[in-house]
Amino acid sequence: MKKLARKDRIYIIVFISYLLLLIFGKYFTPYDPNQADMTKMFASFSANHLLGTDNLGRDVFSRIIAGGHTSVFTSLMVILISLVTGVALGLISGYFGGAIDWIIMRMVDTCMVFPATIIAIIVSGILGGGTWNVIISIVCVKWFQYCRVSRSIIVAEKEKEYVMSAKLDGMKSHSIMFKHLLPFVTSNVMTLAVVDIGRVVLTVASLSYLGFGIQLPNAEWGLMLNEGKQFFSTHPIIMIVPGVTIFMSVMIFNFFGSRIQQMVDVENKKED
Amino acid sequence: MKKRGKLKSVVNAIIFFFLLSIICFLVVQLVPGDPVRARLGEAAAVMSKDELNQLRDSYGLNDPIIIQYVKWLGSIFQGDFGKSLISGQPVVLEIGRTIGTTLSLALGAIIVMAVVSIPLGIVCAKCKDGLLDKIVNGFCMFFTAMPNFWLGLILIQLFAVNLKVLPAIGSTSTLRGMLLPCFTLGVTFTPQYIKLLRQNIIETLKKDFVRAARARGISEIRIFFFHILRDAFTPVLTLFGISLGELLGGATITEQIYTMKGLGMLSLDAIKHADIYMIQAYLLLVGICIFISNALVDAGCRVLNPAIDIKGAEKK
Amino acid sequence: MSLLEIKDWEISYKGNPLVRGINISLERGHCTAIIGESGSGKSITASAIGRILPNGLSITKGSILFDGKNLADISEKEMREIRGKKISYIFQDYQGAFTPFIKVGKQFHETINSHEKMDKDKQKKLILSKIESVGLDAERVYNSYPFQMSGGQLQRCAIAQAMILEPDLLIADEPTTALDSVSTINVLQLMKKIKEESNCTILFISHDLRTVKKYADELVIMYKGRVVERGTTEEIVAHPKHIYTKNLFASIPPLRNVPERLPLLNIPENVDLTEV
Repeated sequence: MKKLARKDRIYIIVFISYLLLLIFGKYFTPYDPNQADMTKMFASFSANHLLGTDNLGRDVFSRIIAGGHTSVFTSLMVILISLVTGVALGLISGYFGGAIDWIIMRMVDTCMVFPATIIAIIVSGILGGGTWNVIISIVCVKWFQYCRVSRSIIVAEKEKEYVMSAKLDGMKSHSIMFKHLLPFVTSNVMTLAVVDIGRVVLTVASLSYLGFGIQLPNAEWGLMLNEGKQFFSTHPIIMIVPGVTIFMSVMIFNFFGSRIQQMVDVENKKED
Repeated sequence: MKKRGKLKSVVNAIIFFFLLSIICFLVVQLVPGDPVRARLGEAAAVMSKDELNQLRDSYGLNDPIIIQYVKWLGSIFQGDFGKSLISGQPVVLEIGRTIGTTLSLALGAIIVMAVVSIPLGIVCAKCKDGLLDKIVNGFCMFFTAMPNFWLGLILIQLFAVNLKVLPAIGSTSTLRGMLLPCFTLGVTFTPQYIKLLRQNIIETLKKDFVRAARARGISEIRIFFFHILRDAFTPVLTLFGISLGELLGGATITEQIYTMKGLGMLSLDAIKHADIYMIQAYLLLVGICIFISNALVDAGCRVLNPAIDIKGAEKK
Repeated sequence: MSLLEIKDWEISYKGNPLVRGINISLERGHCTAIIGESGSGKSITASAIGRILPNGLSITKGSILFDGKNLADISEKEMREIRGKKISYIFQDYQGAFTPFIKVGKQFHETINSHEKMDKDKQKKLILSKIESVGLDAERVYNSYPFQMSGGQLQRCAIAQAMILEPDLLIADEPTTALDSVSTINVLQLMKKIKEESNCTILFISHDLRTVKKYADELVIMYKGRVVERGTTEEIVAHPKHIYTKNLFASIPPLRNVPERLPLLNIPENVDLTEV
């Protein structure tokens, strides 16, 4: 990893820095993001309030940072849980084959039929709002993507010689899976996951915008858009700021995510 | 041999329908809360437990689940999907009123997608790594990151409020009314298609049969449209099959932004108010739509590449 | 007058010359073989004749006269008319000779339609007879997709396709390299038959000297992008002059008096590449 070109190192640093900023920035906001102050509604940009205040007098800048925390935390959780579930099931399905494979793949196929957005809306609608319910509903539609990919990797990989020789040595199945196959699959699937961060952030924002996701008084970019919608004609800034933030953040995640993916691809090709 | 294939398809369709119906039925069972209370609202507080229970009996809600499922399935085949818990109207009527809007919206979005992605995909492939390619790449990044609900709101502000050239409320009856909603819905899908088409055309250009066709003296235009594009299109069509589901999901959000009375808005209200019969019918409808669109995509792939069937059969 | 005259050709990739000082002369009705190992530049030379070079490669020096016409001067449209009608190709990869998702018969029609206006029934008759003449079941092949045929069949079909409009020159770029020995013999004998019956000129690219010397009238030996020797087959077989040619002949394993070890090519790094 340390042998990377300077440009590549910059990509990784910027990416991780932005993530960290959003995760920990919440603890350093100038104002309490939930503190309403009806005397200061719709204040414009000033030294005190960098991005002004919203319809309830809350500092927009603080809310954006807090919203970033929510968005990123939620997205990372979604990806982590989907990865763990998906890769585990894909590993089992691909390695053992047979009936287990068939059952898991039928489940995946059935889930894949339904459009992800609609299922996410329905599940979060049923469970109600709130951070963890949003995480669960998006995980429901994400896990099978990772499952499918890891299964196909495993199916190809398990025919290779080092797996065969491990088996002949008498290594137990779970050891083979953990020590040999798991690291291989993880590194491959990780690149997919990194690129997915942006997409999940958008999904979380969409759900919150519709009212099914993160609930008040928590801050979240999509939620802020929902709140600001009514005041669009009079105070468009309320809507523009969260929108631009979502857009910028997803651009950053996507851009660096795809760069990192390209780097890993090149590394893999070099090894081959 | 073909008959066996068709029989298999029919059997698959039936199995799919049953699985779909079971899922739709079960999902709604998971909705927390008591549908009877939800229906009666405040009046439920006044009624005694026994009375409520009697009501439940009359709705068949105390029967074992399998019986409920069979009864539900029976009524579906008779076209009775129950009544909406919000409006009291039959679900079929509500859906019938709104489905036209959503389908028009989806169709319009598909046209936008095709008109934008196909030419751009071809152009990018032709000037690979050129200036135009880089510009379109930037455009793709831009629209991939763009939240479609925000785009919609910005467009409304720009065209309806500031410039006043297009209506803020989408409507499928006029072309002007459809412009913004279809564009908003369609444009967020274009980046993946542009990239896919570009990639496929570039790869097909390298293939041997293109060189062979050139060596036979066939015109470049003919080679491009009848040989290259046809080869590159199959994965695009497959992606399209998958996208159709997302298109329906995106339509939900778009309808909300443009205040269009479509299926999406209906489903959002239903979910918010736990209108279980509506949700059931909606899920069922979505499942069937996906199934039909997958079948159409399969048929399309067969037309593009008639060899698929024969290849599959010969491998056996 | 010879059918094709190439003088002092140089073909470069982005400024770097890959093939230099190429002089080739093809006599009408003869089979000329270009022999060389991988990377000697023989395929590039063959592709350049019909102007179907891959992107980035171009002819930077020299002239080419085909039937009196300078092929470097004419427009792409005129070149396209020549391709398929006066100059035809067959390639090593037989699977790539036809577009995979279009029936073979239809592709024959396409070739004809690109050059001539012919009645559809007449076309079909011509196509069926051509396919028969290469020893295949005409009706079956006409209605098949390319993947439904074996390698040898496809290659023969490709020959039928190349000959459909009776070209003056058939360029065969390693047509038998990927085939088994039986199909190879079939294809070579077919080409011999074509040459004799239609007086078509054949340019045969190969690396297999042993097979080709039985069928070729003239040989052109290429090495590292240059022509190092050319002449009639008899001359070269009897008296190879360039060290590379000598090595090539020496490395053909004899059927009698088989040595303990096959000789390696023994060519110095800075060997003189000018034509002898």
